[in-house]
Amino acid sequence: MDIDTIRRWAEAARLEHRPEARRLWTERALHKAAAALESVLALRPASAATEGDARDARASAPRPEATEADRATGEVDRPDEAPPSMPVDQDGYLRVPRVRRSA
Amino acid sequence: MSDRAPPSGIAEASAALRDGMSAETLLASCLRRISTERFGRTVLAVDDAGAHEAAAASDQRRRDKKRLGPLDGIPILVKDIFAARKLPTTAGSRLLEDYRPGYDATVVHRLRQAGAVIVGKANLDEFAMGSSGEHSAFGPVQNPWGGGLIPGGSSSGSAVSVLAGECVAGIASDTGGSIRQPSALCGVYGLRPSYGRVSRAGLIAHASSMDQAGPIARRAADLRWIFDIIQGPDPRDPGTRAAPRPPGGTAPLRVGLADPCVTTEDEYEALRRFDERWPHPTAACTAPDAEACRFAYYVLAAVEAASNLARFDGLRFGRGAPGKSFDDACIRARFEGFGAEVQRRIVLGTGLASDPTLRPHLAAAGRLREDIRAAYARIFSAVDLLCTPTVSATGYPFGVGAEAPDALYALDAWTVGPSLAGLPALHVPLGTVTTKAGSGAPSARPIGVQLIAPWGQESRLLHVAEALEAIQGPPPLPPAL
Repeated sequence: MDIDTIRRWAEAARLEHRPEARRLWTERALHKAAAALESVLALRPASAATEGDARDARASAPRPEATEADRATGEVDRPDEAPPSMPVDQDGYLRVPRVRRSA
Repeated sequence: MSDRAPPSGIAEASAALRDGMSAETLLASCLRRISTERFGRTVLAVDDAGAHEAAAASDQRRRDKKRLGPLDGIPILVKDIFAARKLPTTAGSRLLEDYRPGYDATVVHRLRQAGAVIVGKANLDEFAMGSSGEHSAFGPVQNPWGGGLIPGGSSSGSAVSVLAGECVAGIASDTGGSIRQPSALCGVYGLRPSYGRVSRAGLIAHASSMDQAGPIARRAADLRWIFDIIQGPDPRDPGTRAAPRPPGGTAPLRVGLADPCVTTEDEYEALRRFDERWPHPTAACTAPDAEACRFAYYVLAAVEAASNLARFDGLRFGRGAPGKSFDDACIRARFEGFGAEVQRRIVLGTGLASDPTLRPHLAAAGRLREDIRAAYARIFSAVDLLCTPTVSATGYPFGVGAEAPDALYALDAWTVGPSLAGLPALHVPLGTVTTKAGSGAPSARPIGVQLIAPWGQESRLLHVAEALEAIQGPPPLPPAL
C-alpha cells in the first residue's frame, strides 16, 4: 500500500491536514500504518478468496456514469442496490429490466 | 491493620469484615498499595471521597445489622473505560482527560447497588487498543513478575492491581482478549462473558460488535460472584439478552484440547498441565484457524473503531484544540489527543471501509466471521468446552510491536476467535514455568489456559475453574509480592 493513499485516509479520518496546509503524519508513521495493514491482509486465508470477492469488488466499484439520454428519461442502472441473491450476469449486472423512475 | 496484605478474594474479605475488620480498614490497605505506584501507574484516578463514603456507609449498615449486599464493603477497581459519575473517565487517552460523566455505567451502578466500594479507575491501553499495557497516554504498567516484561493489555491496570492487592477484584472490558490476555501474563483469573450477557451501557466503545465487560480476580469463585451481579438484561443496552437455563445432568463435562493447533513450547505446556490436572478424559480438538481469526478481527475491529471514534472531534466530544476553522481545530484535537496506535487503527479502519480496492477484504472478514461461528458450533456439537492456550508465550518484553505492529497484533492470536463468535471465555492460571523471556536470568512466569463455551454457558466455565482451583489451590504470587 503506497503511503500517499495512507495519507489520504488520514485526511479522511480527520487526523491529517490537507496538502496545502502543514503535514502532521510523519513518513515513519505512514510506513508503519502501511506495514500494519499489509501484515493483517497477509493473514487472510487463501480459502477466503472466493467468487464473493469479485462480486464485492464490482459492488464497490464506481457506478457507471449515466448518459444524457438516461438522465433525460430518468432511466439508470443501479446494479449495486440489488440484493445479493438476485441473478447477475458475467459482468455482475442484474438480468432484470431497467427500472423506469419518474423524473 | 493497613500494613497487612488485603484479602486475596471476596470470600476471605467478607469473612474478615464479618469478624470485625472495618470496610474503612480494608479500603485503607488497598489505597496504601495504590499510592506506592510500585508497578507503575496501575490506577489513573482514586475516588478518595466516594470510596471512603461508601466504606463508611457499609460499616454503618453492618453496625446497624441492616441487610448487606453481596459485595458489601468490598473494594473494587473499575477499568477507566467505564463511565463513573463525577469521576475522570479517560479511556487512557489525552483526548478525554477532562471528561467527567454525569452518570454511572450499568456495570458500575450494579456494583454500587451490591454494596461494593468503587476505589477508582484502573489504567489501560488507550481506548482498549494495544494488547501490551504500554499504550496508555498516562504511562505504562509494569508486570509484577518482573524481568522487564509487559503485563498485557488492554486491561493492564486491572490485572496488575488485582495481583498486587490494590483491590479485591477488578471490572474490565474485553474486545479481542483485553481481559484474558493480561490475566494470563499476570497469573490471575479473567472472564469474558458471552456477548450480550453484560450491559455495555456506559462502556466507551472500541468495536461495538465485540466489546464486553467482565471480572478479573485472584480466586475463581470471585468471577461467579461478580458475574452474577453484573449480568442480565438492561434497558439501556438493547443488545443484552437473558441467560438460557443451565444444562442439567451430572455427567462430567467433555473438554476438547486444541493440541493439534499448538506450535510453541509454552502453548504445549499449558495444555499438558490442564490435561494432567483435569480429572476427566479429554479429547483432541481443532480450533478455528488462528490466522483467519486474526485477519477477521483486525479488519472488523479497525472499521468499527474508526466509526466509533469519529465522534471525538474536540467540540462535541473530547478535549478541544485551538484552530482557525472547525476543520483545523478538529484535526488538531484528534491528532494531538489520540496516541499513535489508536490513530493507526482509525486510519486503517477508514481505508478498509472506504477504499474500493480494500472493500472485498472487509466483506471477506464478515464471511469469515460466519465461518468461525460455524466452526465453533461444530466443535460444541462434540464437546462441552474447548481448551486452548490463552497466549503463545508466557512473557513478552516491553517495546513489542514498536517497529512492526504485526508483533503486537499477534499477542491476540488465541483470544480473538471467541470474541468474533460472541462466546464466553475464561483464563485459568495453572501455576508457573521457569523460562527466560525478556532481559535477565530465567525466572518464574505464570502459565494457564483459555476455556471457551457455547453462548450463555458461563456456568460451565466457572465450574471448571472452581474445580481446578480446588485441586491446585489459589494462583501463586510473584516473588516481588
